[in-house]
Amino acid sequence: MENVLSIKDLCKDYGKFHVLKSVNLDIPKESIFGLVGRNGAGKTTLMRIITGLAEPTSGTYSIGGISSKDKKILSVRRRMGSIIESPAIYKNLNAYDNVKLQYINLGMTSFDSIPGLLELVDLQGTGRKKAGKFSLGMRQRLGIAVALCGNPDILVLDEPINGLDPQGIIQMREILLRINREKHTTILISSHILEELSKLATHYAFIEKGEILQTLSAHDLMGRVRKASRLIVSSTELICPVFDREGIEYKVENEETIDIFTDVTATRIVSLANEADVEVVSISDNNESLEGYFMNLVAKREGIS
Amino acid sequence: MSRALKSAFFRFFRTKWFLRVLFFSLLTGLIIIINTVTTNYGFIFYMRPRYFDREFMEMCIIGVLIVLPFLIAIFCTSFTGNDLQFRSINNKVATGISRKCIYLADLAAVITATVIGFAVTTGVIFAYYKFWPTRGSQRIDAHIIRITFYVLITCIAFAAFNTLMQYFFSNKFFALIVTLLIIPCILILSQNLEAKLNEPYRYYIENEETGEGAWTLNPHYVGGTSRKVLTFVYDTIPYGFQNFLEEGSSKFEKSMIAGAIVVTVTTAAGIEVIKKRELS
Repeated sequence: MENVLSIKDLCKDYGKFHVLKSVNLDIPKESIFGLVGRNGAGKTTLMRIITGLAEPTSGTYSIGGISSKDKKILSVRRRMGSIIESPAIYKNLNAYDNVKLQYINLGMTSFDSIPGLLELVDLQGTGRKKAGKFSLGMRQRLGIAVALCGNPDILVLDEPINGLDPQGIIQMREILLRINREKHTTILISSHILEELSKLATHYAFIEKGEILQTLSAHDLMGRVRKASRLIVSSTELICPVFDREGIEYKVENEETIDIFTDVTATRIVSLANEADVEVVSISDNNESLEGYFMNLVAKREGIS
Repeated sequence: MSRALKSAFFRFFRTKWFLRVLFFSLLTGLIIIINTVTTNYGFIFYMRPRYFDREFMEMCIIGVLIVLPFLIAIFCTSFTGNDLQFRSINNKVATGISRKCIYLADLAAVITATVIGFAVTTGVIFAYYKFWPTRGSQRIDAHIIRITFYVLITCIAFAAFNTLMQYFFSNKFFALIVTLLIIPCILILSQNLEAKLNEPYRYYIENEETGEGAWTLNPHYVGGTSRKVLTFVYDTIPYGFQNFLEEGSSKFEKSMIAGAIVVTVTTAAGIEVIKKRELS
């Protein structure tokens, strides 16, 4: 698959503090690439470097095949939209003028497509209302509209759903999916809300302490996450000896909940429960979440180091 | 560069800053006239402005030099400072506009606002001086034009300095405080320099009983190289009113050159600052 953005041996130091340590990353075209990492892992720094807001200490990146060291990178940046941390909008301008200003920044002379863009992010009826009076969700959507000016090939979004209410999160998710599907825009996105990210991303990179721990596609991730069945029973204490005897891998969550990682049929579980004189209340799928996978990855790294 | 300029001026006009600059400049012009008349002539002169002479114009224009830099500092904070605080500058960088062009476009907008502010403020003063109906026309001579031009150059130098400060400090309010404080600091410095340079070389002490007197050297007199340095500083800083009002004084030329140097140096420094600045 063609890569729209490639990062090679990128390092960023602030004095003696190494924020990014030789980061290598390839972002496939038309993907939604989730950047997963804890606070201070280096996600925002990486995005700031890609968008030209900060300079790397060493290493390069290329956008659409143009190296960051090439002077043409300035013109290639027109093909990139971004929101870093919070939307960069003028609070004393209305939504239309904010978007128009970005059109001017891009050197565009026709403003006919602005209403359509505002409609895409559901801000078509805001009229003269200043962006300073917008709700957080509206500001985030306006930020997306500004980032989408000029129909960019790549969208870099740092925590775009931070602080949004559940409805705002759903709305943002739908907008991003629509942009990716309809406009074929590649999206590089970071979020603390990993459950939400897992509903969007087609690819992931896990970053910890400035290092990329792993990159993989959502399909590969599905194959790697631990499958589990969640069992709710009258007593976990009584059933555990039976599972131990049968060599079933499990994890007790509380007195009534237990996760089973071994592939066992529901009939067999019920049969073993009967044997232990334990009542089975329910059995359901409880596959490891993206969060769990990431935490395991970090734990393994810390174990090694 | 054209994208950066269009962007800066779109914001200048669309955010109503243009109208605010016009309004406050008009107000400043009126306040300077009222203050000059009240302080130096007395209330009665409002009705009898035919007695105003060139000195009145000089005082008004000095007033512009004192008040306008404060307005420039506030405008610069609101215009350039907001761009940094709202982080909307990121949008320009992300669209590939070079940082140098962003800085120059912002500077152009601030200088434009300064020139508009200056034109309106001095325009009000000139209009009052020239066309007030209760007296005959006053002559606007070369000396007045020279002072006016000098004030304009100095205001532009303040605009360039303030723009640099906004990019230099990450906090726009801190930058505002610095740019506001620099004005009284220069004023105090110029007064101190004026006092030092005006110390007589010697003074005459007379004995009251005998009536005999003798010349004594003034220990506070600054001479030699120190005098040359102080005179140079006094001539080049914006405020130094004694020399300022002297016809034929070389202060104008020196100060105008100093103003042009300030604009050039601060612009060069500002471009370096924005190039190296890590945008949040």
